[in-house]
Amino acid sequence: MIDDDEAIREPMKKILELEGYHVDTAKNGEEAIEHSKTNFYNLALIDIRLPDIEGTQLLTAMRDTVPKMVKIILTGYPSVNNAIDAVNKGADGYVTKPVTDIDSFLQKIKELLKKQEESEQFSETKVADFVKSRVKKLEAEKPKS
Amino acid sequence: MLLILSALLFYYGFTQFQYYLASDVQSALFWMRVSCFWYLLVAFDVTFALVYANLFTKSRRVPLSILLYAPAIILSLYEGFAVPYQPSLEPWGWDYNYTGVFSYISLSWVVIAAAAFLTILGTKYWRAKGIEERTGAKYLFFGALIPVIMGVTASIIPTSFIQLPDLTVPGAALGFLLFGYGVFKHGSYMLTANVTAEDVVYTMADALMLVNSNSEIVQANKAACDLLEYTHAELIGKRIDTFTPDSTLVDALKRSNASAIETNFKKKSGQNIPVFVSESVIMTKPGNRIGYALISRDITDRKRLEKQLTDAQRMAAIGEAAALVGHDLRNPLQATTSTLYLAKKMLTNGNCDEAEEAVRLLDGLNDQVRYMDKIVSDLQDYARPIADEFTETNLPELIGEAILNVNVPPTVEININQDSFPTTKVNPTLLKRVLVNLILNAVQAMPNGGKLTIAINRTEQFIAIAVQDTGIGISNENVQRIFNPFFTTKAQGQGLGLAVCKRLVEAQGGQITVKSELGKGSTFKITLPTRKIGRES
Repeated sequence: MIDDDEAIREPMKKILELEGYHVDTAKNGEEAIEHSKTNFYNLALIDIRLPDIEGTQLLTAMRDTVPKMVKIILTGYPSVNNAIDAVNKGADGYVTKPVTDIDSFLQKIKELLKKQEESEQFSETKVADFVKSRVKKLEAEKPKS
Repeated sequence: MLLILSALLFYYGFTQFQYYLASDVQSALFWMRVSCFWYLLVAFDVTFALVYANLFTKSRRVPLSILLYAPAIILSLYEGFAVPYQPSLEPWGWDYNYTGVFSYISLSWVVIAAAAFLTILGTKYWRAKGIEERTGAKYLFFGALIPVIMGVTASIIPTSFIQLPDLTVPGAALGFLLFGYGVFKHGSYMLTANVTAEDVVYTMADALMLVNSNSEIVQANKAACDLLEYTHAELIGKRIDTFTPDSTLVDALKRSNASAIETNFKKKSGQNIPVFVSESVIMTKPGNRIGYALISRDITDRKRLEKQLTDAQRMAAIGEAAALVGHDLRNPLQATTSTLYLAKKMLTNGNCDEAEEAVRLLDGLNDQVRYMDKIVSDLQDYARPIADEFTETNLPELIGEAILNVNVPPTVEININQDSFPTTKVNPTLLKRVLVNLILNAVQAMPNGGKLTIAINRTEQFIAIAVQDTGIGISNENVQRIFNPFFTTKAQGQGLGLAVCKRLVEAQGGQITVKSELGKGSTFKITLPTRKIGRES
């Protein structure tokens, strides 16, 4: 949860924790990047205006540290340009403040995380299949003794 | 003048002509009496010369007129109704003869008038500078000389000695033509010759008042009377501050040599009008000031336009900022919705500990509501026109009240420095808002505590209030923009606080400035003009 306003950060953290997630918070871009280097995160909620960096720039920066993370931009400046910019830079969602229907917001997060998990499982299966077929191929190529 | 002169000349010429050609004694006598007002023509000739020679000034107008026209009218009436004429028929027409005391009085008056007439125009001719003025003066001098010679010839030389008709009228007609030629052909300088400094002062559009060193009005022109709606007599002798709502003008007179100030005048109807007064000191010799010349101009229209302009600028800024303010409201709204959601969740769980936590969260919402209220009030403050209501205010008390309005943490030490306990005329509501804003900023700039110093200094002309903190300071780049609306470095805040301060201070005729050094702290200084020297207690 990345936002410079504590009054936004803390209640949201608690809401997510009640849902059973483990939540870290950051009050600016630098802190967020620092966290992402040492920890693994499934999802980031990013305020579009941070004191040191634009939220959309943070998207690009964190693509390197946590590539597969789901990224949702939270904004108080709803505009089409902002939304396009966010999506182009790899945002998975774009939400305008204030989020009044928190239940469906949580539902959306759940869906995104589920998709992430599914795609991970899919990759795992693919990797397993690849390993299996490779092994078989190697075994076939092995000169018969 | 030439028109009046020609009318008088025509009257005299016509009556004389009728008299010459009269068919009998009765008729000749009648026309002779009708022509009696020729004295006025002579008097008017002299008036013309006086005006032309710049001697018929406003202050001399009445005595000179009496001197000229009173005898002229008396002589005319006497000649018209009481003189025992004895008309006689001469070869060229009717003529007359009379002797006695009246003829000598009449003759003396005419000789004196003619002498004055010639002397004035002759001197003018003698002293004329420049070819154009000289030529004009020459025509006028000879225009006067011809009828005078004719008149003197006819009056002085006895008819028994030389038999000649009275040629004064043809002579005057010729003189009149020369007058006209001189004035119209070479009279471009006549404007400067005719218009006296008094005329300029009297007719100028700006109000001019002469004020002596006791601030009493000793002279005022028409525009000044019109401006204040008083008659000339009502203005003279009154102190100038009778007509001002405060002592700004008199104070300005006391201290300066020559300057211009904006102040207000109070009209007779009680209405206050904004005026621009430029004053110059009148001295008889260096160092000896005897009074002041005040030129005042009504600047109601300018003030109105200035106000319209600043209002328009402000509204434009508000328009641009609507989106920004919208964003600023979204953050506390987000905090509110999240908190409400969380509290509801906790309360429905029915757990006692969680219920307490939920109540604590809901209490915290007050901060969000207060913050949103501040955003809206700041914007309103910025958009609202300011009324100028000044009251005598005790500044240290006002500062104390302002400090009470701010939640100052115990880590911040407050000092108030003052020379005395000055009261001054300010708008206490506005000044308090400014001080609250500045103190709040100072406290926020010192998250780890520090020293807040508020100093009041008073000079004769200004009251200065400095709010100094030992906080984080402001970078040079930001100092430039710090009073711009919607400029902020805070996470929470939409950058109207200092813009509002600036506006409120300027509305009271003051200034706000800032000095700051990163890491050392900032000093905001408010300078307000002293409206009245207050009592010190």
